[in-house]
Amino acid sequence: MRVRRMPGPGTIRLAGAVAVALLAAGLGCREDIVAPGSCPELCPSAGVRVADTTLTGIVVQDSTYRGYVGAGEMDFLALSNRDSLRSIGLVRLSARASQWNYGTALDDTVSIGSVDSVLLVMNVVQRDTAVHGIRVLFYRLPALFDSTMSFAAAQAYLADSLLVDSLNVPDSVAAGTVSKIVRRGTLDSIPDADTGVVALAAVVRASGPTTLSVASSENYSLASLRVNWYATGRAPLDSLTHVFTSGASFDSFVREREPAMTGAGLAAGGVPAARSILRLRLDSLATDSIGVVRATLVLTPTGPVGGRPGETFRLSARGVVRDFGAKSMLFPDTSAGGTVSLTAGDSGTIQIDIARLLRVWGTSVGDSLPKALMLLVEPATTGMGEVSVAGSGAGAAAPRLRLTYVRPYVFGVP
Amino acid sequence: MRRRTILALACAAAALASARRAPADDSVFGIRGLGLLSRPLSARAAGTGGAFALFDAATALNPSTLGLFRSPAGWAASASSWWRYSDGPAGASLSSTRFPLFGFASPVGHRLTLSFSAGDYLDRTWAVQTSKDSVLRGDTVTFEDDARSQGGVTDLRLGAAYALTRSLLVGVGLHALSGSTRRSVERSFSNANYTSYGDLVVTDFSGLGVSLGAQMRLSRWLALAATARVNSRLEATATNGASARIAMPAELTAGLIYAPVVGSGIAVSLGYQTWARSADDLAAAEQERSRSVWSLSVGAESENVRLLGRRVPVRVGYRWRQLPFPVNGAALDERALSGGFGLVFSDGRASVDLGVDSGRRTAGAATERFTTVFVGVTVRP
Repeated sequence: MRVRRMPGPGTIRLAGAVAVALLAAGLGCREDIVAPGSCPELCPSAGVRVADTTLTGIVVQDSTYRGYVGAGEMDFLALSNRDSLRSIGLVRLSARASQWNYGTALDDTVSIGSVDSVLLVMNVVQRDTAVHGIRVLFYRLPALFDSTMSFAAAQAYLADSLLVDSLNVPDSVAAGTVSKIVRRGTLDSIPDADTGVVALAAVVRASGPTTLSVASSENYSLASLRVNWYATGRAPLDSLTHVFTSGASFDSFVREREPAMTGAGLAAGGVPAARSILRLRLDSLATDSIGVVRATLVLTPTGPVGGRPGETFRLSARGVVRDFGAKSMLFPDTSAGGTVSLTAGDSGTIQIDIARLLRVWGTSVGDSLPKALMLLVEPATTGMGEVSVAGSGAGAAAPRLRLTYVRPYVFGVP
Repeated sequence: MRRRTILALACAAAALASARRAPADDSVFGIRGLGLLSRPLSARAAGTGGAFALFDAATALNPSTLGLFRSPAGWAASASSWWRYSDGPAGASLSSTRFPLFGFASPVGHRLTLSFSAGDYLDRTWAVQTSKDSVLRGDTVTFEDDARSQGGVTDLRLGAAYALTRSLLVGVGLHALSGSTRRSVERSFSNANYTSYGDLVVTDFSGLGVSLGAQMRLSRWLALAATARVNSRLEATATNGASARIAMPAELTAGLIYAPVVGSGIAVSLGYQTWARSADDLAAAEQERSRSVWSLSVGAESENVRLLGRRVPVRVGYRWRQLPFPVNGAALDERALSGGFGLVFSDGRASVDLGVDSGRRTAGAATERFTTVFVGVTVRP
């Protein structure tokens, strides 16, 4: 359809720009000042005509792949007690030694006589500030628990007898470090069979449903959960003290309901992270590298955008350099693609401007590129944002391309 | 003689480098038809409103005037122009500097003179900016269009003049019309979600022409001159594949000079160009139909003025001309007053001329006031 124009006469902008071109041979210079457009008398006979259209049926094949980034690769542990997301954290700490070196040359050794106290330290990455009384309950897990332990399997260890302590997250802490000296008798001793390894399950409790994110071992800016043991040497060296620190050697979180590996729609993001590839069939109009001034990929969500409450993330559509399905090579950034910001809970149509990708396809280089793009959430490791959109078989809700383009300009001759 | 010839050639070559890239008037009226008719006059001729152009050897109008050169000569002119355009509430001040003319001539024997010159023929340099609001995808978006054309058609002339008698010169000129224009259009949007659109096309022009001229001294005080020129069709070929052939006009110009006092004279010239021949071809190209046009110039020159012991020719003139390409149906006319003076050095081996041409063009409500300062240099090594 043709673009509607605002009623009323157009405004004529008077000359402003000045172009200066040096003449050859250094004989002089030339100066052109842009003339006013006194239309129609003194304007070009042809005008720039803009048109807008929506191309449907552009996706000939699509697929969703899940598992690009697992829960254990996220830079946070999601602890949640919401109906839509129930999750607990699983942490195995690095082994604590049973002795330490002392003396000037550090060549003498003393064994732990007793543990005076144990400090539990946790970094909060994100919390729901509207929910109060947040605390994290830590339960003792077998030191060598199975890293593929499920949410259901973990329930068996959430017994009072295995409770280490609870760590309060004050309302004043939106993000940062919280710590606590845990109850005596819970982490003071480590069975010899565990070879110094302590494992914990973390569960969140609060005055209402909430999700708490704490730093994981994948987080490069914040320390993961750690435990400090304040120890005294064995007699007669019981005057010696030492602090042992153990950070997470493995951490992850498990959910009551893990996302399906494949769903009705095309998914992107989530945990484990999903990506969807869309293979397109476009006519020459869409890949006209000159005429297209805006190209928007329109996606219809199959449900509200997922993620932690209030979480904002970017959904990107990146061009595919080589189509190997799940392991396709992508353009390194959205210079050949587009991106849109989404917030958990959004349910409106998703629009991503991909004119840059179409222009790449419109060049001679583009002839060797597959006409495919990948939907993915970026960055994938810092959030739980997830979106599911209708695929090519969804009829009117299928992905479509809205094009705004300039019809070929008629210069005229002479 | 040879060294003088080389020097004159060098001057002409230096001017060539610039003149080929320097279109003529950048009038806003150049957007219509084939552009604005250029006035490749020497500064001397410009100072007399063009009335002396038929009698001026450095103006590439009448090839017989080349016979006035008694030694090798090179010449070039620059023209700096200022315009004030107005059309109702719209208006703008514009300016440009260009080099519309250069040439070289050398006598061959006692009666024959050969010359090469280049001058502007059609100016197609203009730029227009318009801005408008539009609704795109439900949002009001302001866009700005920038349409430009740069270039024009240059008239390259190989001229020869022959002195049949002491009072009768005849000449012939072989003309090649050559040049190109670079048309571009760009639309930018106020909304960053839209990327700019741009496109351009280069159109090359070519054509041929022949001119004949004569100048006769009827008496000690009276001389006549006339020239006629015919042109082939102008071929226009664009890089987008489009092409056109435009019939070009026949041009007739005649003039009279009356010099009752030695060194002082009054001249009048009248010209006619059959641009109506182009009308059908322009209409086929969806342009407005052109019309045949008249031009009239009256001017005077006196070389009897001396300043600080130096001879200082002074000139005045008035001119009127019609322009062939209408503006939305309105005929375009131009009239101007002119004046100027010259400085002569080295016993006439070098001269610098200054001419000022000020007037206006009108087409309906659109008016363009202009002032052009011509500076010409002639060297006779």
